[in-house]
Amino acid sequence: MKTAGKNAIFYPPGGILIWILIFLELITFGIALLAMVYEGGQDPVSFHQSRLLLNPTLGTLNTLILLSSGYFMALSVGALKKDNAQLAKRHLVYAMLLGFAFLGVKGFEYYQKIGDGLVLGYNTFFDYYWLLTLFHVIHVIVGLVILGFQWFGMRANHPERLDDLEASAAFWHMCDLIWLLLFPLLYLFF
Amino acid sequence: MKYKSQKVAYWFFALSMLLLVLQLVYGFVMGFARIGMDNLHEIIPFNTARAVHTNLLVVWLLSGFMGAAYYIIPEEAQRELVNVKLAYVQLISLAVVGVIAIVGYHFNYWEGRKFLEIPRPLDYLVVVNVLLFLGLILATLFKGKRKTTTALVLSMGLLFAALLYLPGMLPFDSQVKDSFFRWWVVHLWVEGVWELIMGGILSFLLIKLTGVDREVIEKWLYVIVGITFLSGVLGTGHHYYYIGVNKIWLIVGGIFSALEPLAFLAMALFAVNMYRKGEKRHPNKMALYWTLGAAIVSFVGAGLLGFAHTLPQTNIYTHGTLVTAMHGHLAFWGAYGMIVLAIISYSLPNLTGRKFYDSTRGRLAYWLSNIGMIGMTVAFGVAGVAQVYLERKFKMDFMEVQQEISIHFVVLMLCATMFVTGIVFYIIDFYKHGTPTDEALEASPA
Repeated sequence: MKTAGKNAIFYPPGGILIWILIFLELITFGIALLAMVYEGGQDPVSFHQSRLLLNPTLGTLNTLILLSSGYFMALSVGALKKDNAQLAKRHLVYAMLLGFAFLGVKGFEYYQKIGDGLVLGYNTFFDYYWLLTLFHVIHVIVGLVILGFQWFGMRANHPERLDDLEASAAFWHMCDLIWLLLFPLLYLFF
Repeated sequence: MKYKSQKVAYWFFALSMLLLVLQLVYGFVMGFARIGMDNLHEIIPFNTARAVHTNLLVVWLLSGFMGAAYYIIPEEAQRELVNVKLAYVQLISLAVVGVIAIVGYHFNYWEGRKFLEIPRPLDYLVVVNVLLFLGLILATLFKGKRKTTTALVLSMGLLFAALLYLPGMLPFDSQVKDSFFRWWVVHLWVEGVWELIMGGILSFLLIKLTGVDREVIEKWLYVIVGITFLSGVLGTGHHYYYIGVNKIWLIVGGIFSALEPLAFLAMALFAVNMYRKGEKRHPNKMALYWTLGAAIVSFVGAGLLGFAHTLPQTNIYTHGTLVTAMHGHLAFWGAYGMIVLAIISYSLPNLTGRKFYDSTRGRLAYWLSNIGMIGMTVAFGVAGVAQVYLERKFKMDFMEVQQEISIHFVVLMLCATMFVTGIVFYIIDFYKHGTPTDEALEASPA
């Protein structure tokens, strides 16, 4: 804790910059989700039928994978707080492996959808499905790159490494959070 | 000024002022034509005047940006420009290409592509010219003693601006494909890489004028410019509504361009906060006025007025009406016109040694031009909304509608007269500063 009281809001874990980014990301995805709900209201039949074409088992699996990854990420930050860099790195690897597993499942799902001809431009529901999940996948890939840098960087015992790891964890949890918004809306809502 | 070669900047600024005056003349030609006084029709038909008006805007801003780069880069890199003679060659060739293009437009020597009317053979000359400019700037930067974030962002903006000129040169038979890539140039310039240039200039000016630490200014400004840039890239989608491309652009364009005002808001808040935070007060008040003005007016003009017609549900009605002219005028004035005038106001006293920091003339120039431009924006807005209702809702004939709204152009030209009076004061101020001299060199680079 750098300062107590109201000033603490300017020093959140990982620094204020990452939080500004997170808020902007949530606003962006939020607008997109609202737009989707609105358009779903215009054409509920098509949205319902399209929703049934998605595979909720894969979606649920991916939700579990991503949440577990977030859990290991949190453990990693906790370990580094106790100056146990060795343990922090091991948890970081688990978090990253689960991130890759998410991409694998997502890739398999995309493969099936393309095989069924349910591509971008098929209908409005699938436009949203592809745009939202692709933007999310891009964030997961960026997150994995960031975590990779953390894994390599942690060897050097520099003073800001906890700040850096916290900022990376905040970004990684943001990917979880966005997925937790996307999953029910795409796979269950309509 | 700290380096002799910074003097090159003056002549780019002078060219910039000259082209600005010409742009205003063509603006009035169109204004009079709109109220039925189209006596110059045989020599300057409306479509020619429109193309000249927009092309001159781009060239005077580019000339201003180039001048800004020639002023800022040596100072940031802490060395003389690598080759001053070539810089003058570049200036003259820029002016020559510009003049040929503008004269050519009057003889139907052009391509009928909105904003990129310049004919193909001249395109290649533009490319050579810009390559020369970039060569000089980048060589100076990389041979310099230091590479600051400000200088890097400014140079990257200029480099990407040059690269993004190329998609506009691809030949297509399809109108849709041609439009698709034409917007890469037009949109990705003004809502993408030009914002990097603006960010670079803004950062340089704030560092010099407010005395706030370089680290603080550079860190925050580039976060904000980065956000603006990122929302702007996918915001290109707002030019792809209903032009014949996939309709996912309605979603992408709508969402990302709806975010663009946030970034402009952040930029305005940031500039004002840095000003409040700064303890050192630079005596050059006019430069500070223009700098803060640019940050605030760009939020209103580019951010708010852009948002006003960026959603597909709105744009289906407002597309191609005077509503666009409303947004275009205040956005270009706020974001790019004012930032060029800001860097000129800051650098002129340093280049010439005449320190007209705060004069009645300078203040008149600032307030008259800004109030005039806001008046013009309102006139365009009222005319545009009327046009949308009559033409798009009540399906009246295009020319009948023009007749109905011509009164707004009288108001427009009254406000434009006020604007021009401000610009005239600015140019008198520019002229009174005299030409740059080595006597204005500062003894020790601080």
